[in-house]
Amino acid sequence: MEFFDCNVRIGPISSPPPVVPPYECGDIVQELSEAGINTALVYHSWAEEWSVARGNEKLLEEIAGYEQLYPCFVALPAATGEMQPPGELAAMARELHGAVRVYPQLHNFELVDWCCGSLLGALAEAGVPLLVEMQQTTWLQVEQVLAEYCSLPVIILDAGYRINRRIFPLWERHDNLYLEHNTYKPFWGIEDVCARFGPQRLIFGTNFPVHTLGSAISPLTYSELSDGDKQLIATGNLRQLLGLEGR
Amino acid sequence: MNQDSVLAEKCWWGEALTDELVIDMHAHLGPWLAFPVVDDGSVESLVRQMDLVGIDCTLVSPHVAIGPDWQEGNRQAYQAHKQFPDRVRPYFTPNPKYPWAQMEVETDRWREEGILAGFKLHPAVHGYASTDDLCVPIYEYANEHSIPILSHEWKGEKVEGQHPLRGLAQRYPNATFINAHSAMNWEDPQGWAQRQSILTAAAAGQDNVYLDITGSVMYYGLLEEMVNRIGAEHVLFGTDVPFLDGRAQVGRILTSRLTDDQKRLVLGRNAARVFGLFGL
Ligand SMILES: [Zn+2]
Repeated sequence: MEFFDCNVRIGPISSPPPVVPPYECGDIVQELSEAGINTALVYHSWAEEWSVARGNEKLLEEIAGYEQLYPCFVALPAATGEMQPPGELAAMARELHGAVRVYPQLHNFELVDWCCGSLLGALAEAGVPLLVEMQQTTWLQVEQVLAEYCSLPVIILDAGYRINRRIFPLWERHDNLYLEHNTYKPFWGIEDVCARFGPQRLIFGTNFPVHTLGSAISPLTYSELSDGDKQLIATGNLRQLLGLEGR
Repeated sequence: MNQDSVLAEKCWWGEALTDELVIDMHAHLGPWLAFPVVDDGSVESLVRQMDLVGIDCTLVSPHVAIGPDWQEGNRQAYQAHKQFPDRVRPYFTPNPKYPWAQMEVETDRWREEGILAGFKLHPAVHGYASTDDLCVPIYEYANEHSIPILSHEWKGEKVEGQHPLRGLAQRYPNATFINAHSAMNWEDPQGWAQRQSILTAAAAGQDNVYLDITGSVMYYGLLEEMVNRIGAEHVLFGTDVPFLDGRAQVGRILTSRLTDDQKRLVLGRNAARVFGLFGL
């Protein structure tokens, strides 16, 4: 199977666990490819843990030699002027078949219209996916974003397995909502989502190097889905969202 | 990932582990309050997933037993075993807040029938600590009859300078103490380090202590680290189905940097020895 990972970090972090995970771009690529993950959307730790602007620059430098890596820029609300204007960011992300992720909780802002309106509007217009970890926002905010910006693909990361009573009603209403599959572990969860909402809703993501790669791979390889549906989750859905389909 | 691993290769192709001995020693049954469970977590649905992966036998403690009703829960566990005698083995799940005498009668019956896999304790939901006096009759029974005990977590203060798990294991040497969810975090990296060093110290060199790696989050390098510290002989595979899906846990082990022989110990051979299954 082919895998395209939507959630990989490069760069060192402030407080690594006792077994320090790989952080050099080359080491990350090596581990991914050993696990059969040939393509990934990556962000840089600097952008999360230090400076968004410097982290995004560093990301482009680091991945320059790797055509299998696509950039996931971190973004802030436009009002403080800490990074390029949203229109420019969105255009660059689209051009590079990249995406954008935000940390409202960690970076101290609100993922709502009055705070992020120009950013969300620019991403929606360019069709650049927005990624956000569930610990960084709330389901109420997610619902508002989905409703307000219905052409903006929103990929929820690291949401855990206790979310069906919240995410199923959202999937009934919003086609622009996607879920990273890695921590979504309800019993038969992947098959259940595909049966109810189709195979387009789930996106392969590992949260590497925080989590192991194999634990993200086996739920797909050992699933009852058709090969076509597996492949959509493993690569196809993300390729579609990043404008890579047909390339 | 270990490039020469036959087992990793199987994971990559989704090939069932039919040639291997695989025992899921941490599972449940039935619905649960916090979220919907597909097929209501039925035993048929469990067995279907076991077949998909190639799990030979699963040890269950129904959700209702770790929740409000030990009687209903143990009845369900017993029935599930009767329905799939080769595939499903029941834990007896006592709730130490209720009189032991009544539970002892039931436990005796299971033991005499030869179907008792072990005790499952859930101090977190049942609201006690594993070091409470309430648990003494259970430990004494387990010690007398050499029964393994799987406990949801061993909290509590250190007892005489040690983690309580080690003290219990020393006091009841014929019982086997298995710490559930040993590879889970306490949310931050420091907690992770602290918990791991306490747990692995408790298990090190103590033959009747095992660490079960069941959990919803699979941290990079943690399984390998545990095996380095206490040996693959003391690490056990469990899935928590149908509380969770079981398949991520399988992939985590199959694709780890352990040798295939170490993986086999973790996947089933250790559990066969501890629970006296498959003639081991
Ligand atoms: Zn459990």
